[in-house]
Amino acid sequence: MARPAIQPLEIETGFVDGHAAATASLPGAASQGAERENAIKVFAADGLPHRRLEEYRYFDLRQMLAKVGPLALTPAAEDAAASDDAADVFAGIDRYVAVVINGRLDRLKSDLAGMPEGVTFTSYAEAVEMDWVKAAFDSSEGPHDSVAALNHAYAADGVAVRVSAGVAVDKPIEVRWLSAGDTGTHYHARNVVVVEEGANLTLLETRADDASAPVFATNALRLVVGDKATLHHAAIYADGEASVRVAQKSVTLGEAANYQTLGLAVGAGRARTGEHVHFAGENAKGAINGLSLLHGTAVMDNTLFVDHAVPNCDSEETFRSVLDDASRGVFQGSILVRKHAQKIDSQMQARALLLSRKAEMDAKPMLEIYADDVICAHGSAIGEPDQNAIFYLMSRGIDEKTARALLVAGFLDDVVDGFGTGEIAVALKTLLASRLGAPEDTAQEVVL
Amino acid sequence: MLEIKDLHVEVGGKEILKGINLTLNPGEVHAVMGPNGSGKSTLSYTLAGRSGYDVTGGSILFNGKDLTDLEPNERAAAGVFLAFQYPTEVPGVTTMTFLKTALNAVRVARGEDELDAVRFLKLVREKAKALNITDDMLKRPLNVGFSGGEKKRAETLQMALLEPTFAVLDETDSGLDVDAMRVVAEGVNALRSPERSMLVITHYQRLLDHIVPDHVHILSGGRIVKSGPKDLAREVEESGYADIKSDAA
Repeated sequence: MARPAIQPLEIETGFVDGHAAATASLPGAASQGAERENAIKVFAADGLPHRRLEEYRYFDLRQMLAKVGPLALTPAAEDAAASDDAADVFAGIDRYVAVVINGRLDRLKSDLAGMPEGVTFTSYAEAVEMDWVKAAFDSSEGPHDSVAALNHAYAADGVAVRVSAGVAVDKPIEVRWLSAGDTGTHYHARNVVVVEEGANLTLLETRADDASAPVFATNALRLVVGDKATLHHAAIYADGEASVRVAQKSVTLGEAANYQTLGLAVGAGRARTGEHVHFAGENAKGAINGLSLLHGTAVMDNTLFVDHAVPNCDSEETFRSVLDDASRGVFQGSILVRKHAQKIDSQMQARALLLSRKAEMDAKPMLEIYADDVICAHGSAIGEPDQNAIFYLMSRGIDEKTARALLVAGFLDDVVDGFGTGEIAVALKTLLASRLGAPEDTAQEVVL
Repeated sequence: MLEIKDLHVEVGGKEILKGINLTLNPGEVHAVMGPNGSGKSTLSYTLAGRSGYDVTGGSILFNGKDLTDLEPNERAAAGVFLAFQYPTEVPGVTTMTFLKTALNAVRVARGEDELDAVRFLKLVREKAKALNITDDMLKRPLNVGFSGGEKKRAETLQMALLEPTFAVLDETDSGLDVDAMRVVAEGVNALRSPERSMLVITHYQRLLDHIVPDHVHILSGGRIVKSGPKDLAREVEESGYADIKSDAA
């Protein structure tokens, strides 16, 4: 069926018309150029996604960017500051740091020295022609939408990480995404992380765009977690008000792989994460968590597709939002259990606390099950903070503001507790407490 | 110490308490007994200052000061404590964090210094030990997954830490077996002192075998229909509330 004729937006035309000129600065050999040509053609045909597409129903990019006008590609920059101290949440943790400014890896500002043997850390631009990178992208099950096409067409850089079989990376790797600019621009990054059989990696990401003019950014992250491999991933979204961001993640889990991810949105901008998790090997476990603590006009859309293609796997999807002012949270979660994927245990839950009459939560959990021997459940609850609990805390001498902060922090901490008890969890809880004005967790302060 | 005068309370536009008069002197333990629906819980929530319990007449004087306009946290700072019949579960907030926040809030309001983590921990461990509360319980989210006995012991621990001068024990025996009730009652009895008064609200007499009151009041239809010494509780146990009501009428 032909797409109804829609007048392209100036920004869409700008993306298509500006591509030929931009391509000279993009990485890779001639074959990459051809792939990018194809990608921009896909984008030209489909345009920006809009609310009539189910996946973007609550994140209408076309409308959000309608008045922005054509954007120039964000130039490389030498320096940028994080707009939000949430980007420093992991500062106290011994870790490797990769700094990416305006979508380009800045090796001088990064601290990657001393990585163990068996770990390859490089930029997407340098790695784009490598077989393992190509193989990782070629095996991706999606998302394959017009944003993915635009991302591919324009991706200038990003990071590429490969952890060889059996290697446990001694420290977490943090990727710090920064950008700066005083005119509206767009940039696109592509990343690949491959954790081979039996290997172990903790990947952290912090994003805090500091831009006074509209910045439209897309990010693609391809994660391949091999057989018996473990990947822990935590990502902070703390972009400024002018930012519109779409982050897409394509995950493949091998046999007995262990994948845990937690996204935390505390920024002022509008962001969407689209994640596909493909269970390709039996006995794999996946825990996909998202937390949003929003105010002002911030938007966080978590759209998730979990594909149980093989038997005997467990997945847990837990998303919680705390929404103040006129902020908006979105959860679209879909779990597919294919016909032969028996003995799947999958639990999906989305909850939200609304702190203001103008705040909005849209939640749409879905199960699509074709196997007959599975345990799957989904739930969704949207409400206000529990008045009984507020009274209970106040009756012990705690003022109302602190009581509310404690409850809200507890609502979010609950998910962090499920994510882990190590220093990363402590850092996340400290950040949440400071954002909410809640007392810090005493149990973490003292060794019991 | 506590003087309740002609207290009228409405909940959702319906009058539940219809003129309560009650005076507690320092060190006294009074029991309020009554059948279901007599207004026992309304009385305890009103004393603690829960919103939605509207005082439409009368006063609650606590050490000469009217409590009715104070927020629940201000009442706690002034020395009022309510041990809940059903303590609320608070997911994600560890018992330890809650106790430290509450204790320091009350200490600051009373003009005392805040306790740091080390001093706090020493104090809480000492008090917890007497109530058979483990470190593990203190690390768990407040009341979440606690058994009935654990919840009531946790309430008693809070009382021991906050050191109120007036405590309301709302149906403390509900959900407890005999052994658990004994532990809680011992904890409560340890807190009896010449400066501290208590109002023990209960449906059954059995709790009063363990926490022996100085006076017993029978609440029925939103009024105190009979008052007497501790033996009144046994009378109720034997003849039921129906006789007491007719006695007053």
